[in-house]
Amino acid sequence: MVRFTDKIPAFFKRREWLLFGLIVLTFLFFNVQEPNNYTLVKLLNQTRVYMVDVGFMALGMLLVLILGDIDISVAAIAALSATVMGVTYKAGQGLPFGISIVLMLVTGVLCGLVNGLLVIRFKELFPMIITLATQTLYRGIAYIILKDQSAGSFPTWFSKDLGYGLVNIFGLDVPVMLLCLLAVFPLYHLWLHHTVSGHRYFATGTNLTASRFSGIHTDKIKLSAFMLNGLFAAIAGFFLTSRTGSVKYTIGTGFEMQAIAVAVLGGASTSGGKGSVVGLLLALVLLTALKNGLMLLYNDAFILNLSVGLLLILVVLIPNLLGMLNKYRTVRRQRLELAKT
Amino acid sequence: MSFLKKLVRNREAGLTLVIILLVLLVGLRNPAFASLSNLQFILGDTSIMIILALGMLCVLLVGSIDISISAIMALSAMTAGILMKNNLGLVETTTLVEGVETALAIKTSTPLIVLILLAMGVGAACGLVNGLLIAYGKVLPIVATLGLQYIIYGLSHLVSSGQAIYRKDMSESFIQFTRHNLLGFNSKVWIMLGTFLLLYFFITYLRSGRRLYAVGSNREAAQMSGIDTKRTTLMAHVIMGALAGLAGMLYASHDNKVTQDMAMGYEMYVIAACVIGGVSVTGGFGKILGVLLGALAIGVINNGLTMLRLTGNSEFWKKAIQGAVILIAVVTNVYIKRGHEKRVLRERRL
Amino acid sequence: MSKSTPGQELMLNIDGVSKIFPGIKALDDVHFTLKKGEIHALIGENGAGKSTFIKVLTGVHQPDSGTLTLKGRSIVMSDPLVAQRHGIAAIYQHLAAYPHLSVAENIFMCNEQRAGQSPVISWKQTHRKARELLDSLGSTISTSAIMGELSVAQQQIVEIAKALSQEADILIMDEPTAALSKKESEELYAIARRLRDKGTSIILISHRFEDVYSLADRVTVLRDGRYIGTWDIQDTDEGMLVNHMVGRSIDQFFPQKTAPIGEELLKVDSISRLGHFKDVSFTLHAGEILGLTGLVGAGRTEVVEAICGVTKPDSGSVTLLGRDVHFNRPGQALAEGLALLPEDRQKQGLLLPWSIEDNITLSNLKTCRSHRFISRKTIQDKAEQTIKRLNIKARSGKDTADSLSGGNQQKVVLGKLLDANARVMVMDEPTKGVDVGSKAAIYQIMCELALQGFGILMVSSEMPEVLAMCDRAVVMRQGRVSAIIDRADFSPEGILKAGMPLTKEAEVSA
Repeated sequence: MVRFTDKIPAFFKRREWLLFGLIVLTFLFFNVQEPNNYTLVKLLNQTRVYMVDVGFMALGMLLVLILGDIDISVAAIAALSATVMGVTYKAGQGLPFGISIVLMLVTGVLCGLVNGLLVIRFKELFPMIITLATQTLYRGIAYIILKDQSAGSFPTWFSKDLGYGLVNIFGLDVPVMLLCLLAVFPLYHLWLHHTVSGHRYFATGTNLTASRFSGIHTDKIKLSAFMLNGLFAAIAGFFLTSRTGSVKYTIGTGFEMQAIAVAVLGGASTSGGKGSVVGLLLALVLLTALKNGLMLLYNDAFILNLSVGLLLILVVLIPNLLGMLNKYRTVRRQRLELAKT
Repeated sequence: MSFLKKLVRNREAGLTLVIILLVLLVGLRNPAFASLSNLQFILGDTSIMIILALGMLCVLLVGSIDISISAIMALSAMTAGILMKNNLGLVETTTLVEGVETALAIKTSTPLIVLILLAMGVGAACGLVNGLLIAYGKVLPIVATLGLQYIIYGLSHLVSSGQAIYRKDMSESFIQFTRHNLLGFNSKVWIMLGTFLLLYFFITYLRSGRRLYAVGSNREAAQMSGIDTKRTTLMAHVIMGALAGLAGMLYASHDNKVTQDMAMGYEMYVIAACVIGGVSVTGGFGKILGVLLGALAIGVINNGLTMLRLTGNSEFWKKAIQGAVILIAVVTNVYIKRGHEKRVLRERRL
Repeated sequence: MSKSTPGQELMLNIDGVSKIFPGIKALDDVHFTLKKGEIHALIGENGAGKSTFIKVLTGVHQPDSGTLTLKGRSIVMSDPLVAQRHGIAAIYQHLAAYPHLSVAENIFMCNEQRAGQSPVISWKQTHRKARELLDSLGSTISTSAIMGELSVAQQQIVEIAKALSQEADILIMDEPTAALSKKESEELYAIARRLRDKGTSIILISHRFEDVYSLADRVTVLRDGRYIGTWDIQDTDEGMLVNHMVGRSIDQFFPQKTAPIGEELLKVDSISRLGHFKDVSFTLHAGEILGLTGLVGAGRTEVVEAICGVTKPDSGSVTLLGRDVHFNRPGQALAEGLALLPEDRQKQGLLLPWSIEDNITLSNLKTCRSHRFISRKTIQDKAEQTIKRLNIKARSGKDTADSLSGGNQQKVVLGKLLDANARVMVMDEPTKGVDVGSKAAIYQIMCELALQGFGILMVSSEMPEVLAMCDRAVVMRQGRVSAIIDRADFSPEGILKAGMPLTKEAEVSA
């Protein structure tokens, strides 16, 4: 029997609480610094810029990280799929916008499929190397299609209503984009943490060989993770385009690192088997609060990245150090007991 | 054993053959490519990548990886560049121009060697932090160096207060640094050769160098035979950092420019060069000559794609094809290895 | 066999050594003495603390209490280099080699050959000295061969050469003959005796009594990290040592198998896989326990993996329950009723950080749903049943798999497979590294399964196990089936002889 008191610390030891505390601290800090410009309402509006596209990308990345793999090519997939959308739509001269969107999603899934096939076919190569190469490939294709032009003139519902639109909920102006993102989270959470297929991703990431021996179709799991990741990357490209209004082959450069950072902050480990959708959401909120505050104080993208990097390392390093300390203390205690007897 | 078989088994010879074939193929289409001067140019152009790949070899050998190298290049070049900019002065000299003594003002600054040492020091410090995080903090290499990449780019922005460094801020000796030729080869080539020989000596003849291999080949065994595996990992990262600092200076002098996002994305070519050169990403195996040839192959491909003139504007194609070419090279590599394994199996008598 | 009387000079005296790991007391007040020029066997079950003891002795671990006296001087073995300097060298079973490096470099790693005080390694000298050492062992292995491409026996020789290079007067051999053929073992014995006669003291760790009785002068038994006792080898016999190792009598160890043999379940017809095995055929019936034995490396694991879809055979056919089957992955085999208990339970069997419950239900998770979602309650109930049925010792089903002992871990893996409704159970070394109590329990379960109509294919290297449990035994040698023996014709010699690799000379004359 597990006593009730045993359960509490484990629950409170979760990464989510650390993130939650950090969010509160970050908010209070910047709120004191900039009482007029840094408020909940303004922050909510800024989620449009800092949260949505990276958030979608991170959702896909989470899956890949749970498997213990990594995908460097997500930002390039976002750029390529957005390019496909822009070029087929041709500012209204080409295909209907709906079909362009479908083509965009298909492009994302196909890119993910290529990644996934390469990963399961060439196991000795490591996803990191493979996706480093496909990254240049995908962005290169976008470059061939679009040269250094940009594609734009999208329908108004896309660039205005979706990109800048706000919905009034309980007196708060919430960006439409944010609602789209937030709608995905509960579904994703249920799927990943509470269904058999979600469970299998964690199993495969924890120990691929043992999972395969236990009857899980690990190749299928890997392939589907990379394809879903491609799909989410395409969706991220979609929202990124709607926010900026036009597509260039360079859009989203460096977003893959942010997506990885968010997922790792949220509790995923690059060695696999770990990850949490709630943690991911909190990490996303934390980063948004932090980035927005830093932007107000310094207005400098580099400072912003610096703090992201620092946060990423600290959040991973501190539990490691605590674990080492804990181990050391256990052994010391046992030693003392030994000395007594 | 037939000549061909030997060739397949010896990666270095195989790679050399591939490079020669590439040069001949591109040369058929555009004879200017295979000219001696162009080949010398390619070698000079690739030297920076080779220097970085040599450092990456050390890191990969111990089973680690460093994706913060382009950031380290930027930070170290920026630090040195700022020192150079602040100490900039003019010195009046006279030179003979068409037989007439003419007064000239030459920009001077901190001696070049000091600048280079500073850059390498900054790079080594970054490598040290990477190494500490990975070896002692047990942070996974990808996460640690990814995080540090962000931080270092931020730092390089901080030290420069957002300003880039241009030719006007550079001393004459720095500008000319990568423009000297000796025996037909650019100074970058000579520096690369020097680094290559030094590192070759280090990992072939010195104990601490051989331990890079030992740690990556079997970490537990290394520990049991008394090798300080943590310190060895740390050392690999420091070497990588210092070489990235050196490469940053060469890059800056070559471009006559230092920006905060200098060389962004360069790490990918460097890792690819190592993989093509036969370095195992899990550690323990990799030959220094292979790394040199791997980087050279990428250099030839990059330059060859420009010279092929596939379409009107070859830059587009170059960018697009690069990824595919690297992928093909890496995949071919796997097939060669699998073929070898299969041969070993076939030779087993049952 | 001549046995030189060991000198009375004491080389090593270990007194009251204890070592603690987080949560476990790996060594508890252990005593050990080693005389000059003796071979002292150290035996005990897996997990008895032998390897921890060796690591303390070689400075890899520092003991938490106790003293170490070497040649009369008290010594603190603070790191492996100190041990090396004091002339202690160890030949580990498979840990110590650098697979990517050359033979010569493996021999001289951390003892690099240099010209005098120069920091530069002399490769010429390294290879010359390595050659001399290998020659002195009568080996012709090239010094520039890559370690990872050598056979296990050859690697063993290289390890010995390495120990010799350190001019060790105390040599530790950890399971040196585990993967060697009889001839290779005898060559190793000869080397060990030669070293002993030169005055080297040897600590021999082995689970083969054959090794112990043909080499050792004295024997020390460890059990559960505790010191049990030391005896002169003449004063012992096998039964007595076994009793000391397991801590109780083992008369009623193997259960009586009563299951009748029924219809054919599995038929394997001349399957081959390049480089691993060739023309392997056998059949398995309901209620039958079929042994697949032979030496380590004979291709047994490869055969069962090819049958169960882990890999694929290049040719030949597998018939399961009357149907031709071609599995691409273990999942398909499991779905058709063919379950594989893998050899390495930590790597292939368990998700170590996961709870017992989640491990047990992993293969059959689909039945643990209510509506579309996973039901923790069902998982708990199902796991509870299995835990009870297999008598898995854990505080609760929520404990992680890595907190369990080897035997209980094996039961968890078995429980997972039982949950998946198989008809044929392939068990690869089911009792490897398992404590005695669990061993008996696993045998009991096997008999029960046979009684329920399961067909069981058991890969095993342990002769007593094969003799006691199996109805028939398939013996493999160098990738081929060398004999299929019925229970009536079982004899240890017969099985051993069928499994021994043919020497080159024998092949030539054959």
